[in-house]
Amino acid sequence: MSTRILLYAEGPGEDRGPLVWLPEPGELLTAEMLGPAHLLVARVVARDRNLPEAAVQFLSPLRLGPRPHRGSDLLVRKNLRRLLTIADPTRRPDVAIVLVDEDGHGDRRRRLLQDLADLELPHVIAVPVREFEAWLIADHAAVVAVLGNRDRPQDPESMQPREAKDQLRSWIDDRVPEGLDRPRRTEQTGQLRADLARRVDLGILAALRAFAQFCEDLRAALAD
Amino acid sequence: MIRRLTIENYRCLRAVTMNLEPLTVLVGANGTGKSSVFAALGSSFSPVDRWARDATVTVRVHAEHATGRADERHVPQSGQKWEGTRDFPHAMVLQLDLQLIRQANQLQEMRQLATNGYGVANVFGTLTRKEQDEIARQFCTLVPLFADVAVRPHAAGNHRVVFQDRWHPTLWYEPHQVSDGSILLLAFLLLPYQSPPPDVIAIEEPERGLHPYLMGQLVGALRRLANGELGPRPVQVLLATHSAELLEFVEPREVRFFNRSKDTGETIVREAPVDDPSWKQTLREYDDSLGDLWLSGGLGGVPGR
Repeated sequence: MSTRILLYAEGPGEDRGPLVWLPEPGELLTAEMLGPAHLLVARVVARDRNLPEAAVQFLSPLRLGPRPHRGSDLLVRKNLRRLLTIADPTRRPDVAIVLVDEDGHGDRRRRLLQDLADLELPHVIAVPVREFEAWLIADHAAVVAVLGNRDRPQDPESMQPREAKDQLRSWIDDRVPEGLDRPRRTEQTGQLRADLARRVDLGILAALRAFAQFCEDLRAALAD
Repeated sequence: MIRRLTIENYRCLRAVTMNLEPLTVLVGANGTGKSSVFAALGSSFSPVDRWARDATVTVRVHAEHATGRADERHVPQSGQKWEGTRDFPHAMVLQLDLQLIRQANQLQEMRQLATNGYGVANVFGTLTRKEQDEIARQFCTLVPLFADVAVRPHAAGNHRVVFQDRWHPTLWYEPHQVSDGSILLLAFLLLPYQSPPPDVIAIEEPERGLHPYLMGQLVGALRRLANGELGPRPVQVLLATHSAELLEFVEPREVRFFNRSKDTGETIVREAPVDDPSWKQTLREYDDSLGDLWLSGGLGGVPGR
């Protein structure tokens, strides 16, 4: 038994692994194509459904025209609906997840749900407050294990927009050796973010309001 | 008309069955087998055309017609050429070469283009005045830079097609002075006037060099050919394309989506799921654009790792 998920996030830092030339939309992504958002979601689903993480499968995303989606596409009703409309019934997932940063827009989840209200495909809108990086740095022990000794940040959900993003970037910049060329730097940054997603304690994350909401929505969507 | 085509053990087509319409469009990434379908309908065979170059397999092409008749041909184990039904559908598989379309022709009566496109001047010159006028009219409507098309003598018994400038009537352009798209368009416009017409015409990338605005006209002309509205009888048309614009002018049921199996490498052909309960809503989400829907990847027939 497996759970098939179609996940869209705002950028390569969330939904891309080291391999970026993906299979045809609707086909399964392999482990090296998964980004931190996939890894975190896989852990949540595996825990909730009592599955091995390998049984949580992710589908290659649809495109908009010939290009991959951009983060801003997820906020445009027409584009988002297209990305969640898969013509071939054999390629449809059990659930689609759209992960977009709150960015200080408190009504983002409600508005996106409204845009998708009549969509047939089960879907979940995950809106980290203020941004996905707040989830990656929420567990101080995980941060220390991956990035070395760091000051414990304030409550991640009370940070200002971009604060968690900038904080994590600066920690990673400290960790990645200087003098690396850009592709190697990007690769190492991706690995560190992925490591955080693998290690962050789900129990600590559950204390974050937005994460708890996401887990609840996901359980409901998969139960339908 | 071929209603259902089965191809076995030919190149990457290990066991493919596909329904065909009067006009059928094949889409898929490079190397997924679209050209192999065309080649399987053509006349030549080489031992390297066998599935996995396995000399022990029999290559087979089976065509069921709308009338209920069926034709089959095959290349037996270790065979070198096609055997089977004598009246297997005659397919004209066009692999148009722009140089040859433009080339001056040794003057001779010619009622069919060569599959590489050679003979445009001869075929045009063999037509009746009325047919020539009709083709020139269609061409100049689609490419309004020109006012007329004619054949003119060239050196040593040759002639070539020339194109009259719309604004300067004494100015005639040579074939090499005319754009690739225009010259291809002229070749396409000649197809319905060939005699005797083939049973099937297969064209690779008919969109090559054409402005997207002209795609609808091209598909319209080919559809009229397929429906028998042009020429003495219907000619079934198969197109292979990478053009989302072309798909805007065909019906979903006319498109076949080509992929290769990840496990075996054999070609898999799918139809659009037009009978799926959510099909209409799906198409609506894409503003009824089959081209956009195809590019989304949700129907197959697109590249991927």
